[in-house]
Amino acid sequence: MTRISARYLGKRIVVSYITLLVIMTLLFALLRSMPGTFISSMITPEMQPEQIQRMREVWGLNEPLWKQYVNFMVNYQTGEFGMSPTNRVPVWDIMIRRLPRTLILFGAAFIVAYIVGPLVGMYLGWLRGSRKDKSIFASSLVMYSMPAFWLAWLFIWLFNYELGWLESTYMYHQFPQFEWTVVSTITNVLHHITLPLISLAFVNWVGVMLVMRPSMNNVTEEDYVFLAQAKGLSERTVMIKHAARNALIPVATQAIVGLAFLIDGSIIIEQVFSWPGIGQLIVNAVISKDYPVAQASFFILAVLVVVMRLLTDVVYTYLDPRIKFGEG
Amino acid sequence: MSLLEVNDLSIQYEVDDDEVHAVDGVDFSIDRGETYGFVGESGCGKTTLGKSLVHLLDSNGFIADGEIWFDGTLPQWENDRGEPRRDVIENDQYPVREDGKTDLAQLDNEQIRDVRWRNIALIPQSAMNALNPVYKVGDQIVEAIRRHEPNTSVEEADTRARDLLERVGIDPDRADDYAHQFSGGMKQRAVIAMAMACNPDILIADEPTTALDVIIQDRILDELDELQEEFNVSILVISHDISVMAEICDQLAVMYGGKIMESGPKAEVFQESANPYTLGLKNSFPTVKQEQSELVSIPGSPPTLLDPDPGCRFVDRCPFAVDECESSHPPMYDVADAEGGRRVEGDDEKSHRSACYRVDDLETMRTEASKEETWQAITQNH
Amino acid sequence: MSTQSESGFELDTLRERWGPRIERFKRGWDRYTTHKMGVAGLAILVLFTLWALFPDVFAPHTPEWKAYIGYENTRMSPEEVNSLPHPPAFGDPFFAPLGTNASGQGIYSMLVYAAGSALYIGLAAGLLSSLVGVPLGLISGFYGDTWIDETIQRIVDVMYGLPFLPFLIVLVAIRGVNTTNIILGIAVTSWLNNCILIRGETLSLKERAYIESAQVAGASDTRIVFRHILPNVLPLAFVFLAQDAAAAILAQASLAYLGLADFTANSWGLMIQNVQAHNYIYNAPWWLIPPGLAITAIAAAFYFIGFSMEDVTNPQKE
Repeated sequence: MTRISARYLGKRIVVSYITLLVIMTLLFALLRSMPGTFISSMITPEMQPEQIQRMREVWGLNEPLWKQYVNFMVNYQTGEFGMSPTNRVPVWDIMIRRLPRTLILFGAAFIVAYIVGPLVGMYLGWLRGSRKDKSIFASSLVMYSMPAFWLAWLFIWLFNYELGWLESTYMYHQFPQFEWTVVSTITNVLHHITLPLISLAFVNWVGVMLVMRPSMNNVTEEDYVFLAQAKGLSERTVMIKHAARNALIPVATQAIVGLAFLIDGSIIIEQVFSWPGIGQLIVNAVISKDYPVAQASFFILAVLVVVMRLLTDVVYTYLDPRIKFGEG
Repeated sequence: MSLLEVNDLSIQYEVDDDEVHAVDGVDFSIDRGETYGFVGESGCGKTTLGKSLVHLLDSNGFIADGEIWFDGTLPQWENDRGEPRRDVIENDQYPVREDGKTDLAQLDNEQIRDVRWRNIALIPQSAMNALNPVYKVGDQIVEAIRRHEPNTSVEEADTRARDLLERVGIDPDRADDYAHQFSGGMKQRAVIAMAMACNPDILIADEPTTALDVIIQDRILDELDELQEEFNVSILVISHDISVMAEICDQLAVMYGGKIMESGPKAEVFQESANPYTLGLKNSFPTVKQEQSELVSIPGSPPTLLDPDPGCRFVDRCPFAVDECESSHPPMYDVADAEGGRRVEGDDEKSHRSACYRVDDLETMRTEASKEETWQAITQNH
Repeated sequence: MSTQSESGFELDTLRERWGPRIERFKRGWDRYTTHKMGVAGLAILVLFTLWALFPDVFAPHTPEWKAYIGYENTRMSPEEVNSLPHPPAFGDPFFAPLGTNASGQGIYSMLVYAAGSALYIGLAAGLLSSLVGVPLGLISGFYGDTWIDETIQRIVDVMYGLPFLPFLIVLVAIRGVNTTNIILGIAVTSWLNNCILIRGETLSLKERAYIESAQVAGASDTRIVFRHILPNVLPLAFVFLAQDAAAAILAQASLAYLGLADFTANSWGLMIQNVQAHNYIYNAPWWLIPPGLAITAIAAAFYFIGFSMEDVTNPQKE
């Protein structure tokens, strides 16, 4: 297996870091561009002028703008997210509690979508133009067109309300006499995660398939696929080992779009299923005007996207031995 | 006894409910250790013909008619000595006839995969791109060996792969390299090495030298020649390049519009060409005839082959066409007889034959064909 | 006399110029109609467009209508209020083909009247992202491997790191929840794909012989871009427009679900959100299912059209 040069990796990390800095700057600009200051929504008529003054101080709004910007950038990179005015706890604590839950749901959906999507895309791309391809492709586009929350409700209605098989809220049950063994914990969580996971993956695998299908189709025209046929390899081997393996290369890079969709989806799905993660948090924070929390959630999600992109870059170099390391 | 015997083979493509007659009623046979060449302009059906022997046509192409008798059979139909089993020959369900030949045209999709590479290896037109970019070159050879000889261990297959690479002049250590680390000529040679991996009976080389520069072209041709001697493999060369053919072929068939126009021993076809199309083709290539200083191309382009007219395929571009040529496509006439002024259909596939109604008037055609005006006259007539 | 011949001449040049294009369009149309999916998409889109243009023709009432009382400014009796939301049934004292919602409005009429806003959001966001993405992609591709290209690509790179929906949520929350801001928010991120893909197409077009010959002949950059490259990438731009429109409609529905919708404007997303707000998810399928299906249908129609057009504009296929 090819080894990734430290230089290439270093370069990608620097680029990711710069991306993050720019996004943070955007975030800063966005929040400071609000009419008035961004604390004005937190000010209630009953507040005393001293209170308001103290609030301004706490938020550093009396500092010059550049100082505010520098403070913001430095604080965020050291995990100083400030206090949540609605919860009266450090934002960092909330984040650290919620992030793993989001990662579990997001990660599970990511794995499902990136197994199902390429598989279906491979199959359709191989059969491109056939009746089977056309009907499966059209059906998956219909799935892709369904509003995620609406679909989730239909699932809840069927599997929870009608059949009573699966849970539809929260991440696990806390029965009074529940024994927290490994097995019971897993089944407990599985009971809760299945529906949100299906709802999330149901729509999002299509995004991956949409990249894999044309990529696979292009690859089938390649001479090395023809040669693999000529070698007498079985159709399966030709399709999987020779065609799909190459078709996966662009999927690794282009699938970032699908990734962004997955994050969007998980925000909605967390909301529908009361999944106590970052996605639910950001929505609630925005609605209750808890800007420190909203800001930090946004930041965490941005970090998530940037890290995932970095990972896809690394995967890409493993998939394609032609990448010239330490160059370009 | 011939190794491959093709009778009346027709191949069609289905395009928008129409049928394209890409290859139409072709007969030929190849002996063991022989090099057989198919030459013709692009679109004449020669590549289709090569691919059809092992069912590697595009999905809309199919063998419409004909037989492909190959001296050998599927592994599961063989006895211990590698000959077809008696019961297989006697049972009419199997496409194996008395002399042990198998009709490849009747094999299904799964069966033909056992013939590919093991018996008939095909090197595609752009062999430069035929190596999979994500696997090591050596591993791709190992894969071919292990596909057809499942009992071979990986180590053994790997040693053989390195030997094969060395055999075609590539450092065996390069087996661990990827295709993008190879030069164009090296890729071509690696594919040839891969083709010899299972010691096939026939090697089909489609345009083996196109896209290579002249010096490398020569080397590849020498390589093929040496391999042929060493492995006693028959080679079916497909090319538009007459000079390639002149260098390596024993037998030659000139194709036009899905039909064989002229065939026979190379020297005879080249030096005593007996078909207007061959004459025209020779004019358009530089290296064959020294006395020909100026190149003259045949005006017009090959026919579309979509429901072709009943007449001779070449009639629209032929300067010697007479009324008879419009009636039906001519049969293959024996050239030796024709030299004596007689038009007799030739039965021997190995002898020099030509599909032309005016074959009895060879002298006129040969003299006229070397003149540029003869060919330019067609453009004015049409 | 002379003017006549001149106009005739102009007509000829006009025909000469547009003839091949019309011919090409016809051929494209013929190929498009071989895609059943594309035809279906177009049919759905036509239906929704008709709904949007002539809602009064298709709907029995306007959204102001209420069950039992119609357009009267009176109150319903307590029994009448209790019977809401009302499932579709024969023998009702009022006519509501798909039943009513909790405030007595006809579901079907609401559906018809909301088609306009879905089309508006989809097309406006799609157009907007094309207007940003296509020119930037053209410029980036045409000046490929120069600092201009590099700058645009870096911007695109950074924007890809932006989590789309969170960004949209924050943006809309800050700038105010109204349709215009929602459209702007969607367009801010959806131009990225257009830009990248149009750039790729431009890069490959630039290598074509006719562009090079135009360059050698001394044509200016703008002329080459507008006369030679733009017409060739335009079909592709329409493909993305259709896909962006679908994505925009879905994004708007998601926002509506999160409570970030313009509550003064009737929309399918808001209709679904209202089902939850009134706590009828499990009890009023006639209210929950139709708007979801309508969103699915219009988004699917745009996707169908987009992908069929992609096949048509991609000449190497079939």
